[in-house]
Amino acid sequence: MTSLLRKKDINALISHASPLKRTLRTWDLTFLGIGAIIGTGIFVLTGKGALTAGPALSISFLIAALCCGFAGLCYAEFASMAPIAGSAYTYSYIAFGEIIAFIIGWDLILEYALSAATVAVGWSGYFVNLLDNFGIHIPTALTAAAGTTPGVTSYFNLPAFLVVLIITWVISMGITQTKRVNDTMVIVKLLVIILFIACTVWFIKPQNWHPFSPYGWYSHHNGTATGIIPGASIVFFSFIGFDSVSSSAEETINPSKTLPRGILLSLIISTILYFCMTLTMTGVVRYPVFRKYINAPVLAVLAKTGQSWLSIIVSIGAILGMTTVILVQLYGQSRISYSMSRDGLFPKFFGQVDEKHQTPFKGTWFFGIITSLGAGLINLNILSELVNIGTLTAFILVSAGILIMRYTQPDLHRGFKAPGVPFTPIISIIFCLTLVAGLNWETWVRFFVWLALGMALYFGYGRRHSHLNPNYKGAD
Amino acid sequence: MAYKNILVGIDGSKRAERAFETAVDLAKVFSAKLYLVWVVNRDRGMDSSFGVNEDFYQDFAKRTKKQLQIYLKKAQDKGADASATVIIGSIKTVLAYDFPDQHDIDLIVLGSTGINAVEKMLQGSHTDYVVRHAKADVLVVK
Repeated sequence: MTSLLRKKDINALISHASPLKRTLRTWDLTFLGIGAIIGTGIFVLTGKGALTAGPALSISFLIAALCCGFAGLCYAEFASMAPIAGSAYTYSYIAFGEIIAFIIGWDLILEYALSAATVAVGWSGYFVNLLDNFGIHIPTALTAAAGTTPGVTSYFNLPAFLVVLIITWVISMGITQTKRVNDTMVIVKLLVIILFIACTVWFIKPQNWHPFSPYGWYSHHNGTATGIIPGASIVFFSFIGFDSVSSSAEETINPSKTLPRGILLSLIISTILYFCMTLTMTGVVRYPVFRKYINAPVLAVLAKTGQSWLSIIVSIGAILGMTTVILVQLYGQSRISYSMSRDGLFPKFFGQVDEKHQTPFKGTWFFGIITSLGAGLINLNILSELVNIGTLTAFILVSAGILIMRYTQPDLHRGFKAPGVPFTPIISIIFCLTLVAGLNWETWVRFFVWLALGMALYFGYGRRHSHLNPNYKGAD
Repeated sequence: MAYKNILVGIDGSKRAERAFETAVDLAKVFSAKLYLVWVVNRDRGMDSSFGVNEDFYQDFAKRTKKQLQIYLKKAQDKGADASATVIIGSIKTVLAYDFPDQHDIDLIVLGSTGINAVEKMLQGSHTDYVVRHAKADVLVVK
C-alpha cells in the first residue's frame, strides 16, 4: 500500500535549480493577478450564470472570489515548499505521493481540455456574430453543439472546432506568445469591459432586478441546480488563473505580507469589475433572455440596446482575448501530459519531444483533437459545469495537504506560510466543497467516470511503468 | 577597439551554428573570453494555472546542457577561452540585458532568425530585438 504514496526525492530536483531574484512588490503581484484572472469567463459564462442565479449572480461572484482567496493562500504555501519552479503535479509528487499526484495531474488535464473547449465555444459565439454583422451567415446547425438553446436545432460547433485545431497547430510548431502580447490582450479585455459598462449602464431598468434572487441560495428548478451557490460554482471559472500570484512567493519581497495583499487586491479589483458587469447585464436584460445568447451573453445586452457598433468592438475584443487564452490553455494541456509521461505515469507517446520544434508534438495533437471534438460536440450547459470540478478538486487536495503537512512535517522549508492555519485550509476546503455541491449531480457522475478512467489507467499502466517503481530500469 | 567578452546565442539551429563558428574565430583573434549561452525560452506570456509548464522548461534545460557541452568542447578544441551557460528565461531579455550586464559583454554574436508570419506576429524576431535593445555591439551572422 505504501507504494501508492511513494514520493519523488526533492534533492534530485533541487540540484538543477537556479534561485530567483526577489523583485515583486504588492502592486506587481496585484497586476500579475488581475492579468491572470481577467480571462474570458465573464464573456462566456455570465449567461449560464444569470440563468442559474438571476441578478443575484453578482453575489455568486463574491462567493467565488472568497473561495479563491482562501484556496489561493493555501496554494501559495504549497507552491513555496519546493524551492524550485515546478507544477502543482510535481510538487504533490514530492509532498503527498504518487497517487495524489496522479489524481491532481489527471484533474488538471480535464481542466485544461475543458476550459480550452469552453472558451472556444464562446469564441465561436462572438465570431458568428461578427460575421453576421458583415453579412456572412453560417448555417445555425453548425454554430453550436446539440442542446445549446432550447427550440433551436444545432448539431456541431464548427467555428469552435476549427479554432482549437488551428491553435493546436500553432502550438505544435513551437510558437508561443510573449508577455507583451499577453499584457496587451489583458488591457484589451479590460477596456472592452469598461467600455461596455460605460455605454450600457444607462439602459438599466431597475425592475429587471426584481426578483433579485429568483432561486434563493440553492434550489432545484426543472431538474437543475439553481440559485446563488450553483451560480458561484459556474462563475468560479472567471477567477481561474488567480493562483499565478500564489506561485510567485520565491520572487516576492517579504512574501508573508506581500503575498496575501497581492491575492486580496487582485481578487477585490476583479470582483468589483465582475460585480458591476453582472449587475449591468442583468439590469438591461431580464435574465431569462440569456437563454437565447448562451454562448455570447454580452451580445444579449447589445441586441437590446441596439448598439451594433459596440457589439462589433466587443466581439473583436473578445475574439482577440479568447484566442490567446485558448493558446495558453492548450499549451498547458500538452505540458501537464508531458510531465506525467516523463515520470512513466502516462505512455511515452505523450512525452516525446519533437526534435525540430522542441514541443511534445504527438501529445499536443492528441489532446488538441480531443479538445476540438469536445468544443464542437459538447454544449455550454455541460461544459460550464464540468470545467470547474477538476480545479476545485485539486484545490481541496492541496488545502488538505497543507493542513496535514503542518503536523507531519512542521520543519519543512516553506517560503511562505499561509496565515490562520488550521482555519484557512479548513475554510478553503469548505468553500470548495460548497461550490462542488452547487454543481448538478450529472456533473459529479461525469467527473467520477473521469476519475475512474484515471484510476484504471493508473493501476493498469502508470503504477507499473512509474519511474519510481523499483523494477523500472530506464535511462534518464 | 578590441572586444574582451563575447557572447554567442546558441539554439541548435543551422544559423546559430554559423554564428557560433564566427564567434569562436573572433574570440581567438581578439583573445577574448567567449560565453556560449543557450536560453530555454520561458515566456511569462504563456504562464498558466498550477504552473503546469515549469517541468517542461526544467527538462528542456537539462537536455540542452548536454547538447551545449558539444559546442563547448568544439570551441575549446579550437583554442578559444570558452564557457557554457544554459538559462531558463525570456530569450530577448536574457540576451539583450541580463547576461550582458552580468558579464560585461561587449560583443553579441547571433544568427539571423528565419521566422514565418505567425511567429512574427506573436513573438517577433529575437535577433531584431537584441539588435535594437542591447547596449553592446551586435553582430548578425547571415
